[in-house]
Order: sequence, then structure tokens, then C-alpha cells
Amino acid sequence: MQLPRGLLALAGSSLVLVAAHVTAAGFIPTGPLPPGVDEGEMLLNELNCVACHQPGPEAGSRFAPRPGPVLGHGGLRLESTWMGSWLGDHARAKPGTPMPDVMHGLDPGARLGAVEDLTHFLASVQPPGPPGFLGADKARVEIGKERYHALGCVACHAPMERPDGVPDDVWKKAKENGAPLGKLAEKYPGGELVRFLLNPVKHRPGGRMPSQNLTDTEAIVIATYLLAGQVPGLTDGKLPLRTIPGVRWDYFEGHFGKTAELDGAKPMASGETGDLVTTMAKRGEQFALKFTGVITAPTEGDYTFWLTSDDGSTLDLDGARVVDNDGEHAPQEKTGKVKLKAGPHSFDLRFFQNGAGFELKAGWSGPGFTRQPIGAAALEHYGQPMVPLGHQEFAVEAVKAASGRAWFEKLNCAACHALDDGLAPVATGRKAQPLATLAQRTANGCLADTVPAASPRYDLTDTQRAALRQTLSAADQLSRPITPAQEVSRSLARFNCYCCHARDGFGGPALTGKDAWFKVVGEADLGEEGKLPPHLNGVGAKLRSKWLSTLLNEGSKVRPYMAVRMPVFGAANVGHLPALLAAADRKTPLPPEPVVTGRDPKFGRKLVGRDGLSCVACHTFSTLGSMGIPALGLDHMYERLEWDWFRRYLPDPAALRPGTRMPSFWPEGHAVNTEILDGGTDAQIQAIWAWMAGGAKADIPAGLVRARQEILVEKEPVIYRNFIDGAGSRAIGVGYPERANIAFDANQMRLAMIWQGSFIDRSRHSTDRGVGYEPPLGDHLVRLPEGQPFAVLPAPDAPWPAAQTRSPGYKFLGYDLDGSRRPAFRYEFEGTAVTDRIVPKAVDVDITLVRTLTFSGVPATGTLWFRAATGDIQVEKDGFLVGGSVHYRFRGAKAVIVGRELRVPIRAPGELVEEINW
Amino acid sequence: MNISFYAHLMNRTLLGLGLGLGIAVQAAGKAEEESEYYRIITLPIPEGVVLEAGAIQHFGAQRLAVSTRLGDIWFIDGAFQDTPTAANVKFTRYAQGLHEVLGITTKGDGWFYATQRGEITRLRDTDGDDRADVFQTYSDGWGITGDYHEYAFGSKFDRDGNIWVVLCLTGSFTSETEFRGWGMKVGPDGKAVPSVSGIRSPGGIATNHLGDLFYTDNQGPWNGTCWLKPLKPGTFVGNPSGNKWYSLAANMGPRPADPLSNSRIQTEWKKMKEFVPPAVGFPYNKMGQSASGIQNDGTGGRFGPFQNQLFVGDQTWSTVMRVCLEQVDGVYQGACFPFREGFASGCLSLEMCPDGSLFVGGTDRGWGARGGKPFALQRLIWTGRRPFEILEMHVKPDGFELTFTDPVESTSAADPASYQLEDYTYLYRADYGSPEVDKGHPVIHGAEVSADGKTVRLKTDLVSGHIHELKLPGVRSRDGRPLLHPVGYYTVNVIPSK
Repeated sequence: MQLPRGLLALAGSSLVLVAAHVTAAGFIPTGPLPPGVDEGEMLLNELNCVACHQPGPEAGSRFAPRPGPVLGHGGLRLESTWMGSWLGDHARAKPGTPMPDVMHGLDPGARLGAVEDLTHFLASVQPPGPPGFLGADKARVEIGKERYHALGCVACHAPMERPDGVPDDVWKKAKENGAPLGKLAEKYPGGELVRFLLNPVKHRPGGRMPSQNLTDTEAIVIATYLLAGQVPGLTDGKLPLRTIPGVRWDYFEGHFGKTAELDGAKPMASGETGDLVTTMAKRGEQFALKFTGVITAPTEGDYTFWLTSDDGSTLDLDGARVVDNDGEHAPQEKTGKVKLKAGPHSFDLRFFQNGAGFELKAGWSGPGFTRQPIGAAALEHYGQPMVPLGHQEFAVEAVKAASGRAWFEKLNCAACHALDDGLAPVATGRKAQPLATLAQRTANGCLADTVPAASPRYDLTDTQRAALRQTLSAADQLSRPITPAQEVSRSLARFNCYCCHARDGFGGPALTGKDAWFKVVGEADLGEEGKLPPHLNGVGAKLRSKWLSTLLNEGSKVRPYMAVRMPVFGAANVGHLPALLAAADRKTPLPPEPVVTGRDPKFGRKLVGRDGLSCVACHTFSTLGSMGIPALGLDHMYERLEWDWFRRYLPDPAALRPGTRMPSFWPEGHAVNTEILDGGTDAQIQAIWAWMAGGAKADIPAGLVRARQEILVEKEPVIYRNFIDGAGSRAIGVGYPERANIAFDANQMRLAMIWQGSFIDRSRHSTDRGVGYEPPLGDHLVRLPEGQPFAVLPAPDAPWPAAQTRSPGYKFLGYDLDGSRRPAFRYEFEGTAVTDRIVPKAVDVDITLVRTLTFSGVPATGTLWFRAATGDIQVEKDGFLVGGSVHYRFRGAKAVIVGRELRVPIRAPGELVEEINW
Repeated sequence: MNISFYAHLMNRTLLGLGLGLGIAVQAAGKAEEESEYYRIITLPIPEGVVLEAGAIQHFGAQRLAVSTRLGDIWFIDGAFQDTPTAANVKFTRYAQGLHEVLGITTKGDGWFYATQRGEITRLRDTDGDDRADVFQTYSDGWGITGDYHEYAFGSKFDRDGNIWVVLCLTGSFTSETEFRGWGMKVGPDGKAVPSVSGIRSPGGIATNHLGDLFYTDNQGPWNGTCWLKPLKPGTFVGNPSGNKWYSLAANMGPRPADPLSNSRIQTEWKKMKEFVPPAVGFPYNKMGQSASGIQNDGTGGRFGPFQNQLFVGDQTWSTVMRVCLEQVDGVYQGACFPFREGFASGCLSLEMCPDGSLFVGGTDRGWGARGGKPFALQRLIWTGRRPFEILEMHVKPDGFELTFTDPVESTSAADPASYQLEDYTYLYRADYGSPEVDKGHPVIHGAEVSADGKTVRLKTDLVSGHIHELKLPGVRSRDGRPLLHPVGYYTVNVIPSK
């Protein structure tokens, strides 16, 4: 077995030392490289030596362009103060930068002048207009921190947070192992860093900082996090608040019935958005959003606002309600009219969602414009812009800028930096000695121990200098042909692919000890394959070249469970890889795909589905989630995979992916399903392949579409103990033949909900793993008070004890079924035993629950109270009307109204009959 | 630099390089051969009955009570027939509406004890129509947040009349409410006493022939593979996620320090007096992928030659495995062997009956299984023909002692080349699962065959803390048969001194 460079096996034991330092992107590569990759040659490429030293025709193909950041109109608006300090001493500002010092030969005074002129020049050619701003927001810093550490930034850059359980040595090494970020807080106005993060390859075409396909929100939060050092300067109040485009949003989770309940609620996340969207919601149920800021009325006049929402929403302008679409409901539209003066008005739009589908649309019309969505153009909010540390207002002086342009040309900056300033192109300056002639000059120029004034000075270590000398001095080194496999290794090293992917035993997150930072999304029980990117052994023969091109050019989303993303390096940088990988990994031509028959897809579908091998138990298909974990989509397989790999993988997945959770359904080549296609291994695998060829349009396999499974209540009551939304984790639902339903909460020991019509859909709990809380079906749902139902109070109007997950002092005893199989619940409360018998009475659609509460034993001290209802309570004939639609009557005690609560004194032993008609 | 840590990394790297070099030891494609000795009889399930069998209890005159994940309890009459048909097997719904019942038992007095997610319920039928009408909460002394992962597996009564409940963590990694990740001992008074911490994701729970309790725990955080673990009051069994509840368990004493991640079980065990190491590892992707129900063969030979051994299901592989345990210096350890494959669904619940019927209940909902059927109830019986198998595997100071169901042919059995031995362990870490690490290939110095051919002493160097994977490709019976399953995996916690 050949050990990779840098790995030293100690004879006779498995004890091995690894000098772990994988090439990091964006700075001078250090440390061991994969076998077959020469460090000197790697440096020649990464330092862009060939930009000046023309390689000969043979060596030329071994190098790929390694351009520096784009300057000029196409660049970024960076802080001028930072530019000056960077040009003054960039090696100190960012140790390890591949940018050489081209001014070291100038005397200090001349150098200062050159730096100042260059700063004026570079500032003069930046894109016109002010830099993009970013509002300071602590919540965003927190989200940004999480995103920075989860999305894959720390694969190349150093992590700044230590996950639980990471030992000291691993943490220390991880912190030291990363491409330096430089002094971001001095360099970037926030909005410019956002622009960069959204499209890094545009600004740094070398692709060493790839695009992570960030969403706008992700770029904003990561930028805020990385620039958090800019915030303290803003908190001293010296900088004025200014308006920032878009509104601020706050995201909440929980059950809300009215938008007013958001007052004082603690947001889980916050940010800014131009459009009033709900995409920041992390789940589809039980959440709320608040959008606040300023809306500018273009002219004085009458305005109309619309809100369409499911569930509730409200809009307040200048503190007054304009549209009231509050409460739980299906999609409905409400409007409001208001007279507005021209100019800014405070804007407060709130929305909450409980169960089922949701929707929010906000529109307005006014003088001179018809109904349209409330868009980014009209919305602003006040905030504290993040401003680079050391920021100074900077005015370009034309004379200095012109001189700077001359320096730019003289110093040959254009050899690495593309510049677009709308003027004639800057000459790329002189060419240095051709590469081939450097063999005799390895102690001269850039490589001299004391670099002469005319040569750029690189921040090289002695080892790196030695490696360069060695490579250059070996005359045939650079003209020796290299194999595709070697070419692959060097490409993967250049782009630091090895920090995420292992190939042929080299690389992978474990090598840098950073595997602890790789996470799985949510709770997919996929083990390491759920969080660590796949190894690339033989990937050129596993993946179709076309798919490889797609994923290299666009990234890949086939592993949605994996937090880290496949980044995008740019076609100019990695467009050659698919062909190269194919050449390296396909030693012999791949066997042809099987000839399939018209009936094969049918059997394939059967095998994949619930009634076959149940691949869908783990694998997703198109937009349909699997029945369990979200393993790779079956709809992509054909598009991604080569047949030859697939046919080898299925019989023994663990051989090609050690540790995979994918079991074999053809162990040792024998089909476990002997019914379909007579248990023929080849026939079954071919049939699956044939079905998969249909991609997302293939016939949907059985088991993936979860149909509603309403529990039908016919002659006798049906009980449903499960997680019921609104009744807790120990809920007991009862559906009665009278079309009345209840849910009892055996944690809080209360009747939690009553509703009419259909009982409940059990499909959530009877398919897949049974995840989550299921709300009731039916209609006219009434929620009864949360918390303990009985309490000993010091006074009749004393506050009711706060609700707890399990009511303290209560004990659930179970239930007995009567002759009609109606349950009577039994429980205890501090010495008082309660029997809670509920009998529905139905007259046509008019339903009354007759609830008989029988108490035995004696309460400890004081008066025992029962809290029957909360809400708007009105006294009516024989009873009370609560919330305008629920009638309560009591026999055996006299109820009293205490604020918004309906309370009933209890005698124990004794009996109380409560009738609820709704 | 922490050398051992890099050793782990290197092992992974080596694993990557070693692709395809390992010989997959899967007792695959064996079902037909196995069926000569152990026959699977599939029970017909009536249309409309979703029998995702979470637990099984035999009672009365060859009746079964089968509880399901959807919350029903079915009484089944006629399940013990040789050719069960829809006409001669009767299903009666004894109870409905319960919450994922993964434990059921009875003392035969008319009361059944069903372990639901949220409680143990004691239920009975008072009017003789085979439908329960009294549902008493026997014990609900643990928390439940509503996470799907919060399963509760209930045992049968132990020798002291306790029911034990093992509580899955909240999700794979955390314990969000009381006693998730604990084993609760529920006494005759219904009080749930937190008695064992360190549980992750159980798949089954039962006693061995001595009445000592075991459960299976599945590969995941702190479990490099699936294990059979002892449950002894006052102990910790490996996953510290639930240790915060020591604060509510005065009987357990102070909370021990958490084990170090990325270590080895053997290392951490030695540091922690509460720690009981797993008794038997089921190597991942070799024996199975998700260990489940457990049953002891106490039938006195009606189930074949493996008396007082444990049978353990594997949900993913739709198999039943066999376990032979022993105690060395008071520590349980032992070997597992492939036993029977080819079940129809993902094996979850096992029930051994006095007549030698092993009922196997299956489901593949949420976790795929080879069997392919969404649910099944099958009966495994011994045909009366004795397979040529390793009967028992015992550890000795200088190797292993193997006994066989039939005498071995002495030339082949005495040749060390008839055996292959590999040892390895797993990372003990907070991360999910582990590759096999610290591999070694101990040399077999000698193989001594007893005069009766029933016993072989293998001389080799053992590594404590390692699973020893023994293959016996060259061993033959006197009539020339190879072993039905020529492999065993012995977990050495302790090497005996004599």
C-alpha cells in the first residue's frame, strides 16, 4: 500500500503520525500535497509566476491562469483607508498572501507617495455611487455565525467557534488551519462584502474563493458576522441613524391567535428584506413575522391597503390600525383606507400562521397608482450602518489618481489584476525571463536571498523557496508529461477540494481535524455520510461527465441533508475537470447501458416502492420526501450516475462507500426479494435503472404520497392517543358518533379542545416516522384554558397559577370505557380524585357536551376552583356566553366571572355538571 | 499532538485506501439453507389490519397479544398452527387508540401491561368480550416532548416483578425532558425509578436465562455500532446525553464526569466506576444495521440446540441473530453469530413461546428493511434437524474455546489455517457511528481439538476492548459439512486471568 506524502506509518502498529496541513485556498499553499503533485510547481502556479515568466509550449499546458482580484468598475468599493494600509504593507495585513511586494525597492518617502497615488487611482476607478450599506444587528451576527460555520466556509477558513466535545488539540489546529480572512472590518463596507459573497468568482476570477450559492439573506448575515468588529464604534451614538432600504423583519415561533400577541415576544431571528415575503420562516406552522420600518407616501392623498393572509395579519401605519385581517382563518382579503401626507410613515405589518397552508400578500394603491404589491422601493427602516473601522471620508484628487495610474502600469500590477476604468487598457508591462531559462537563475530575481529592487518580493518561507528552486533547476521537470490522474490531483489541490473530499486516500475533512464542524441538517440519521462530503475515488467513472459539469458549474443540491454546500468555482477554472476525471478514472471504456424492455420501468417502480424493496423508505423522489430520512433523490440518479457504477454499487454499497447506511438488497449477489422478476439480481437492478431513466417524470413509486387517513367514527367512540396539536404530547383524542370530538391533555389534566364534524387525520403518525403534532380535523374548534383546570386559591379573584408542561400536583389515572365505550377520565389533584365523564348530546347539528365531574376526597386547604373558560364572557339566560359562540351552563355550583375567566367553586366530595353548547 | 487521535484519522484513511480489499462476511443468500433447520411460517393478516408489531406476548392457551405502532392491541388465536390460513387464524381487537405500544406483558391474571410512549397502561377486559374497557395509568414517570424519536420500549416482568422501560433520546443527540436516555425501573407500585443512564436508541429489551436484563442500542452518537448492553441499576451504559437527569435521581448518586469523545469504550470504562461496557457488539454492515428485539431460548430444547442463548432481531437486515454470553470477572461479554435471514419485514419484536415458537414481528415504516413488506408477523420453528454451527464461544486467557453442535473433523479443525482472525474496535465519540479502528490480525498459534470433536481451543493473542471477528472457512464436520454460518464476533471486555 502506498502511503501519501506526509503520512508516516510506524512499523508494526496502526499508530500513525499525520502532519496535517492541507493546501488552503487563497494564499500560498503550505504543507503536504497529494502524491504526484510537486510543491514547487504548485507554487509556480499559485503565485502566478507564469504571468511574467513565459512558459514554453510544453510547460504552458501545465499551468492555469491564477488572476488576482478584479479592480475598477467591475470591482468592489473598498475602504480607502484600508487600501492605503494594504498597499503599504500587505504581507503584514494578511500573512501568506500571494500578492508580492512590488514596491520594496522604493525608498520610504517614494513608497509613501506611490501608495497614496495608487490609493487615489484605485478609489477613482471604483464603481460609481456610494458603497452598499448594511445595518448592524446582533441577531444577524448570531445567525451569521451559525451559517459561517455550517455552510462550508470553515472548510477553507479557520473556524471561530468550537463545537461541544472538540478536544483542545483539534481546536487549536483547526483555528490555525485556514486561509486568512485579512482585516475584513477595515476593508469592507458591509454591502460590498455582501456583493462579494454573492459572487466571489466575479471579483476574484481565480476561483480560489468559490461561490457558496448563498441567498441574499445568507450573504447579509455572514457579512454582518464577519464585520461584527465594526459594530462597537457604532454604539457610542456618535454616528447618526440613517435610513436603510427595506424593512426589518422579526421571526417568531409559537402558537399565536392575534397579532397583538407579538408585543413583547422574543424573535428567534431578525433581518432586513426589501419585499414582504415569508421565506424567512423556518417551518410551515406555528410561526409569526413582524415587518417594521417606514413607508414613504409619494404624494398626499387617499391610499388603500390590502392584506390577504392565512392565518391572521394586521397593518398599522403611524401607530393606527389600517387593515385588520386578524385571527385564525383560511386565506381572506381585507382592505383599509387611510389619508396620508407625502413622506415617511411608520410601518408595522404582522402576520402569523398556525396550521395547514399559509399565505401573505400585501398591496396598496394611491394617488396616481393602481393596486400593486408593497415593494422594496417604498420601504425603509432606520438602522446603524456598519462602517469600516478607521473609516475616513476620502476625496479623490485627479492629479494623484493620474500618477497612481502610472504607478499601476510601472509596477506591472496588470499582470495579475484585470482593470476596467473606461480608459485605454493598462499595458501589462515588461515580461521577465522565460520560465525555461530560470534553471540557471534560481538564486536570482524573485528567488534571490535578497530580492533585487526590480523584482517582486514574495512572502516565501525557506522551504517554499527551496521547493521552487528545485523544481526550476530540474531541467526536464516541467516538460515531463503528466498523467490525467496527476492532473486531477493538482487541480483538486489548487482549489482545495481536499479540504472536503478525500480521493485515493488523501484529504477529506478528517485530515485537517475539521470534520467536527461538518453538520447534518436537522435530524437526518445518516451518520458521517450525512455530513461529510463524499469521497472522490473513481468519481470520474461514477458520475456522468455532463452531471459533473453541472455540479461544478452550478453547485449541487442532491444532498439536502448535508449542511456544507458544493461550491461553484467557475467554468474557467474547473471546466476542464469532467474530461480530466473521466480520463483518469475510466481505465477501460465503460460497458454499455443495458438494453431495457418496455416493461422494465414498471418492475423498477415496483421494486423501488413500498411494496418492493422500499427504497423510498429513505430516498426522496422529486419534491416528495421519503418515508424516513432524506437520502439522495431517486429522480436524479439516472442523470447523475454511470450505469457501470450503479450496477456495482447496489449489490454491495458498503464496498464503494464504507460506513454507508444503505443496506444491500442483493447480499452476495442474491436478491432478497425473490418474487419480482423471479429474484433475478441483474434483472432487478436493470429494472430499477430503467425506471430511474424517467427522472422526475418517472411514475411515482408507491408509498411516497401521503394521503389523508381520516379516522372515521361510526357506531362507537374512537380513541386516539398521540401528539395532538393543542393538546400536548400525552393527548387523548376522542371522536364520538354524535360528530363531536374532544382532546384531553393528560400532561396538564385538562379538557384541551372540543370540535365538531370530522375527528382527526392520522396520516402524519401512520406514515414515515410519525413526526409532529397533528391538529384536529372538522370545524368549530374551541380551545379551552391552558394549564391546570383546578386550583386552590386564596381569594376568588386571585391570579390563576401559570401553565406548566405537566400540571404540578396532578396525577393521571387512566380511563374506563362505559357500555357505549365512552371514556371517563380519572385523575387526582392533591388528594382529590376526579372522574371526568363526557357525554355528547346531539340534536340535529346542535351539539352539547354534558360533562360530569365527580370529586371525592377533600382539598388540602381553602376553596377549590375550576376554571371553565377564558375569553370575552357575557352572562346569558341560565349561563354564560364565551367568545360569542360557546354557551356554558353549570349544575351543582354557581360560576363567577373573574376578569376574562369563568370560574366555578368546587365542593369535594361532590359533583359538578358542565354543559358546553357550541 | 494527540497521537492517538491522529491514529484514528489514519485508520480512516487506511480504510479509504483499503476499498474492496475486505471480504464481505455476510451470511447472505442463506435463507434456503437455513430453512432446512429453522422454518419461517407467515401468519395471514386480515385485510385492513396494520400489524406493525411493536411487541408480542403469548398468554392463555396458545394465544398471542400483539401491540402495534399504530396503537392497537390484537388478540390472535390460531397463530401456532402449522398451516395458518385466513380461515383458521382469528384476530380480535382488544384495544385501540394507544400511543405506539412497544412493550406488552401479562402475569396471566387478566391484566395486560402495555408500554406506550407516554406511560405504561394496565388494561383489562371486565365483561368478557375480549375488548379492554379499563385503562389504568400504571406509570408515567418520564417526560415526552413530542419528538418522534422519543420511543419507549417496555420489558416483560423481571424476577422482582419490575417492568423496565428504556427511553430513547429526544432526537438522535439530546435529552430535552426528564429521563430521555434512561432506563426506568417500574416497581409493583408503579413508581418509575431512574436506574440506568447512558441510553441512546433502544430496539428491544429482555432478560437472559439468569434473569439479568439486556437491551439493544443502535449505532449513532457514542455508539460506533449496534450493541447488546446490560441494564443494571445504578450504572451508566455509554451515552452521556441524558446525564443531566442525575440531578433528579438521588438514588443514582452524583452525576459522573462525562466520558471523553473520540476515545475508546475500554479507556473510558476504566475511568468511570458507573460505566458498564456493552456486552456484545453487532458489527455494522456485517451482522446487521439496527439491532432490535431480544428473546432468550428457555424452552428446554424445543427451539433446537441453542438453549439459554439470546436471539436478537435486526430491523434493517430482516434477520434474527444469535448471542452467546458469559461473565468474566463479573463483566458480561460474548459472541454473536448470524442465525436466520429472510424475514418478510424489518424485524422489531421477538417473542419466544414455551413450545419453541419464536414469533417475529416486523415493520419497515420510517426505517427501510430488506424484507420489503410494510409489516409482518412470522413464526420461526426448529425443524428438528440440527445445523452444524458454533454452539458456544468462550474467552480464555490465551484464546478462545469453541464448542460445536456436531463433532468437527479433527484434521481441518486442528489446522490454524482453517481460521482467520481479525480484531478491531470503534471510536467512542459524540459523533454518529464510527468506522472500525485499531485493526489487528492476531496470529492463531494453535488449534486443539478435543477427543469428542465437540470442542476446539484456539490459541491466540487477545486484545481487550476489541471485537474479535473469527472466520472458520476450513472447519468441517465429521461428515464433511462446512459450518452453516462460519463466522462469529466476540467482544472481549475482559481477558480472564485463568
